[in-house]
Amino acid sequence: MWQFFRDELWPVVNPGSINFEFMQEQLLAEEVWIGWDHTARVPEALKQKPDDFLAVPAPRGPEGLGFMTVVAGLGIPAGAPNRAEAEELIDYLTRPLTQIATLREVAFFPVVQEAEPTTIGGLAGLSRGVQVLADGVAKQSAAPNAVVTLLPAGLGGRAGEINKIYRDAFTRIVINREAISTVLAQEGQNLQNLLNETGAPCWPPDPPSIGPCQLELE
Amino acid sequence: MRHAAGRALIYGAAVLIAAWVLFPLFLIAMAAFSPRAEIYKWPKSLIPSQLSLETFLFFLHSHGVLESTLNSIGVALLTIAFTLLLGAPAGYAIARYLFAGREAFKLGILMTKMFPVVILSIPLAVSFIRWGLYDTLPAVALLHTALALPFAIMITASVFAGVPRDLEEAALTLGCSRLQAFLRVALPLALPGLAAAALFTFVMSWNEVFAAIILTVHHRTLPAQVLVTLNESPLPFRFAGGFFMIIPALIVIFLIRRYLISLWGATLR
Amino acid sequence: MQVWRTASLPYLLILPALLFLLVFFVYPLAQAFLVAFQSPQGEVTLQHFQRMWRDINFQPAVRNTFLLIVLIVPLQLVLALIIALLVHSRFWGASAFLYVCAIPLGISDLAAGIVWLSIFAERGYLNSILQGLGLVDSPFLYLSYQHPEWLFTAIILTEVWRATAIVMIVLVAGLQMIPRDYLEAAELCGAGPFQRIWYVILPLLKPSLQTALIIRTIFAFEVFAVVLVLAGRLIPVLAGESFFWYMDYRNTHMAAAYAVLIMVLSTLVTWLYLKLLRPREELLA
Repeated sequence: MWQFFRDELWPVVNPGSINFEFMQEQLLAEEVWIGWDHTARVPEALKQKPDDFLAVPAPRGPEGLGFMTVVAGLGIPAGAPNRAEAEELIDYLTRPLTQIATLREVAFFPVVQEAEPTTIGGLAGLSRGVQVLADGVAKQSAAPNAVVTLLPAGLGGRAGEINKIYRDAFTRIVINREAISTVLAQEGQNLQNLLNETGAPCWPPDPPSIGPCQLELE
Repeated sequence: MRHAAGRALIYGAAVLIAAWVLFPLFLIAMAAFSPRAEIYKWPKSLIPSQLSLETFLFFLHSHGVLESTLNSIGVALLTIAFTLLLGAPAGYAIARYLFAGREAFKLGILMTKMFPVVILSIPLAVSFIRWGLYDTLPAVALLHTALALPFAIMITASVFAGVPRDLEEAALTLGCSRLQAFLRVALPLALPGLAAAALFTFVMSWNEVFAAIILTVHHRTLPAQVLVTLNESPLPFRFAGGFFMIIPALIVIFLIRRYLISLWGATLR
Repeated sequence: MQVWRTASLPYLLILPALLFLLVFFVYPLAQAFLVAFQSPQGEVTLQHFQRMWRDINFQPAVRNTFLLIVLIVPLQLVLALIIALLVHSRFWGASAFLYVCAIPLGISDLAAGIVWLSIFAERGYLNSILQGLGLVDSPFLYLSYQHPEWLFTAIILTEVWRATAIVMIVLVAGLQMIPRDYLEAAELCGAGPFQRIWYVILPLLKPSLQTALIIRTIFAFEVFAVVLVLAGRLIPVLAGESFFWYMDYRNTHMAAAYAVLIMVLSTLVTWLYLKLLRPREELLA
């Protein structure tokens, strides 16, 4: 996979993408024609030019069509004051109409069955752009071999360090062109250390583990 | 002959250097006043086809910009207040009194200039969380005061040293207390210099970015807001933001231009 | 009674400032060292510095920071000296010229970065001007990882544009303190302008040069926003690494370790400057 990234994919990728953060900017400026990003980072492009863009599922790999859902959780910390109001807020945020409004404004997709875009269709007053996005997301979730993946969980305050491991792996393999097996071994060890130190069990799509998640380091 | 050639060289160099300073400012102004579509256009023309407030207004109305601007102003004003309250008395003491430890104090102040802002911000961020001050405007103002205070002390010292001692002595013999002599004689004469120091402090605080970004989350100052959203913001936003941040600088430096040399001359010691 | 009050007055006046400086300088310094050398469990450890040493961005950050300093500071010194000498020659319009050159004093490094971004961006003014002159057909991507030399050039140009004013003001103030008689005497002895500069002005300017160098170098170790705006994460620098460890990776220990490193390096270089540029005693008389 890394070889494919480095030798076949990277040469056709905009080198400035190392610093891109919200794909909608580059899509609108036409610096990028095909972009992968979180749905909440592309709606402007679709809202401004709905006829110019398609939203399509992520490519399929040998293990299936993997895609990441970023679940925004709602919770009440133990010992919080105003518990009753907090519960009311959670209730409000999970109402179908609020969920639709969230989708319409920031392209965070509903988690409530009644608010599914495919259920309501065009009734919800979604702009054409967001509708395009919603259709793409629906196709992706419904695809055969779809593999739902979650963001790393259980790492507590050190979750940011996973970003660093992935960034460093990318930089070392694709930009600095170090030997792939060496980098994977070293950064894999870093990741394993992080998992051991935080005690995080495996998260979906991997089955949960007892104790810290163990990597398969060949 | 040699005189004319020398003169020509001087004027030529001066024009070249002035152009080098001013041209980029001209360009960013043009960028800030171009219509949005023109910012993405290539090739760009140096002067946009029509001057438009579109980009600028887009920036001002963007989420968080107006609040962070107000925050920046608030922090700067607080910084001026803290700095003058703490620094003016110290400067006065250095200017008027020869006390034991004066040189040590001055040396201490000099050494604080060597502290990079990084080593102040990171620990203070941790401490402020503990003290419940994190993400508040006064917290940022305190750090800015720390950065400005050494300069302020030396500047006010030189300003007060420039006020003739005899005038205060005369006020004392005429029945004023020390405080009255200070308030009625020294302070009014020192006011222009102090005002210049205050304006300089304002600019320093307005521009400061590292500490501001470390110490704030919801109550960002303008530079912090712009930097945090930099990579996710469109080019028009960045250009308008850059130009907007420069405006106070242009005004303030113009206002205190006469004091620039004397202000810095003071810190030479 | 009167004597006692006057004797304690200066101390009372400096007390607030002194206390403030103790709390906001000495305390953070101690705290930074503490956090940098302390493990999350509370024991004294070198683990953060070891991790910093092994980090893939550490050596590039040190190298880039030093490279930038070595390239920027001398350039600024020369340019600032030229400007100061021009102002000193009191040509017609010199004060307007001084104001213009002082404008960057009020410009933050973030704003300066954005100004030069508008020039070096792919669809920026530099490409547009070159295209207008017929020198290029398509935009050249200056600010990409494939062209580190251009990234450096952009950063250096921005820093020279922005921060030369700081050095210049110090030098102008220093020049003003040189007694005119020295220069007149030199002129009477037949010294041309360059000889006057080399033999009279520069030696007498040494204290100002030293001050300017020290101030500028300390600021240069903190170079941050300009690099971020122009190069993003492509050019690691020390202050940037400290920033990312604090903001992105949420590890205050590593951030403190970098902060301590910056402090140590700045102090070292300052000490070197003071040693190497000690002005000759007789000139201070």
